[in-house]
Amino acid sequence: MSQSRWCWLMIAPVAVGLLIFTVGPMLVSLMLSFTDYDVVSRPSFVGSANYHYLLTADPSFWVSVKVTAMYAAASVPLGLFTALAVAMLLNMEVPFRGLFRTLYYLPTLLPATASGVLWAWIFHPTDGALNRMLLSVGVRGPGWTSSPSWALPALIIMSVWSYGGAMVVFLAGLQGASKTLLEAAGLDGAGPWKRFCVVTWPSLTPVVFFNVTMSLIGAMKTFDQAFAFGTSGPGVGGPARATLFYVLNLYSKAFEHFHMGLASAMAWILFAAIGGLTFLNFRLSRRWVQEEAG
Amino acid sequence: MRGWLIAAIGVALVGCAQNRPIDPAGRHKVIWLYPIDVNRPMVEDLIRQFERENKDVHIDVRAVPGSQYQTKLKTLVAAGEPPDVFVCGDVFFAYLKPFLSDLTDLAKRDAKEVDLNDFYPAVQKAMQPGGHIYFLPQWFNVSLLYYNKRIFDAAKEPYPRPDWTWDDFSASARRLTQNGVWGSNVTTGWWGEWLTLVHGAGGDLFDASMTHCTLDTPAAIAGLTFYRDTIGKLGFAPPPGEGPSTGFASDKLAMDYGGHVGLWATYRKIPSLDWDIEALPKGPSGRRGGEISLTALGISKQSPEREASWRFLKFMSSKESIRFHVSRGYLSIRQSVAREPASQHDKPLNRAAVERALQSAEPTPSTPDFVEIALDLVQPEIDRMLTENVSPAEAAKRATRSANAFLRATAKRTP
Repeated sequence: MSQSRWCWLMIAPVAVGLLIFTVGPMLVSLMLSFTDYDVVSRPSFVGSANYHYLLTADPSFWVSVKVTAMYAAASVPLGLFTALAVAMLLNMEVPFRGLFRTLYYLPTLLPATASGVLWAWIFHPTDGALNRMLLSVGVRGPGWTSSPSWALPALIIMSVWSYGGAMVVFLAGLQGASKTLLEAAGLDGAGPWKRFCVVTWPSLTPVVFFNVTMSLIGAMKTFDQAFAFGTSGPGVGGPARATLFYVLNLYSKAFEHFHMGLASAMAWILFAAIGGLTFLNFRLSRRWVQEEAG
Repeated sequence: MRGWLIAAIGVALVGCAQNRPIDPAGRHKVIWLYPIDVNRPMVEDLIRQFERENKDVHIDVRAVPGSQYQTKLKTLVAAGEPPDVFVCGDVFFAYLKPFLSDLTDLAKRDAKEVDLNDFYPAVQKAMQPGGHIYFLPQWFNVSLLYYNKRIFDAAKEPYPRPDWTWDDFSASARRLTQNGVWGSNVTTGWWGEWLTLVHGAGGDLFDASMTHCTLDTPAAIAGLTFYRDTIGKLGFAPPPGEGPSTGFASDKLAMDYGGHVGLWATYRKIPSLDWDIEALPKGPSGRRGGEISLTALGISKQSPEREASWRFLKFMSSKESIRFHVSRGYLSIRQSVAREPASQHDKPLNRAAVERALQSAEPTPSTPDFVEIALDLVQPEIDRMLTENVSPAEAAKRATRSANAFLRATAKRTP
């Protein structure tokens, strides 16, 4: 058998799986996005009515876009900054470094739904650990789960908890930074901040780019934390839809109200948005990512 | 070779056919999609009792978490494998009606056993939408005013009366709000309280044809204003999230407006809680505005076991089963059982209040989109009204606009 045929044979299981379980459903969902379909009746073709309704009349669509955008704008930089700071601390020569690395990574292993339930308790307005702690120092905490103003910040704070994945990637990037260059910069009189700016950061930019891209996509797909947080406290979508994330809205349309056409249209809008944003991210990366570094 | 292939495909197709698997004991198998709740031990006892009395029927309980019930049910219906028996009769009835078997013929045939007249008149009305019977109920929820007798006694305040109006309720609640005790609570996150008050003020969520939202009428806005004022101008209810986390059970709420009978079992387990009930106070329109909701079982239109399922439904709504429900803390849905002494020795003692509440109870709007409109479109504006200083008129206007846009789009999309 020729090498080419062997190649096709080897990739066949994955390719067939991809076609049947990913590409196929995607195409079906694209078709459904032009129909009115409630699962139990036959789909009826409605043209672009679903897209039109979502973009011009649905009161929840733009709310969920705004919630997701605000969350991404706050949680991505906050999460990456925390991950980088912890990675730098864990990169230092300290006793029990391996133990600390494990401990700081552990929260990432906790399922998002479990951490959602845990944080809903921490943020409970009257009985939560956070407000009790604040009260002990004389500060009356806000209604984290009941106030439309505070519910989203609560979820942003909660998102920092799952910095472990980005932290490991940063740690790998930091270990790849040239020790020779760092030593040379030190000999030239550069302080820690200067060494970070001129040596460490440039070598980290590919890693930062990777983490930014993945975190942004992750933030736009946020679902499980918000779902668990909502069902454990204020209700799915939170008070006044303050935590109605895009995918949560999509889920609600699909599996609570069975508007499969609308939900499919939402999925394709999200697909296009993520694709566009990732493309933009790649284009912009040419200006600041130093590929040859590290 | 070709013959073997055809035979194999034939066997596979037979295997995929939707015939009900045969029960090992040769009994009729009735599949019941059951939403997991605290009643499970009681339900299992009832099933054992039914199977003892009907040895040719086996009830196959498929338990699903309550929050996932509707999703699971609709998915099974979509897959062409609906359970024989499922829960209906509540706000989801309008949505589920196309999948329910019309049981009117069976109810007429077995009229003596069903004994329709034994159900409360309001229940009889609620269980015959459009004059047809699609389900048989086991118990019901009706909105009531709960009050804490200890708090009333300590404040030397007279207990709520059947002829109370909103003014009486409000005045009493304000006097009782002191020393860490709140006069009442505000129910958030769903329509339980605000829709009741909208009704009490003479408004409604929809017009009679259910095609137009009418929450922006002056009467409906008056109801929303009273709701908002309980935490604002009148100040007898804690703002959302700031009340006691265990609500009325905390012993720090003098009254709970619109509480349901499903709470009785819980309250009875708190010996220190001295409580009773009264019908809701009347609003300016003279309506109390509370809702009635039935917990009932219906049979799938596609069920191959309609007759066996019907026997199970009759059993679950029989006096025997209702007595069992009452012994576990539930309110009797049958008048004859309610009059039995065993039904009346537990709290609440003021059972006449339930009958008063039933006389004026209103069913939830019978449109399949009610839950989606009430929770997803109206509720966020109500939340904003309670937490962000949005006026009731503005909240009502925005909610109405959203609901009507949805109704227009739904009407357009529906062929």
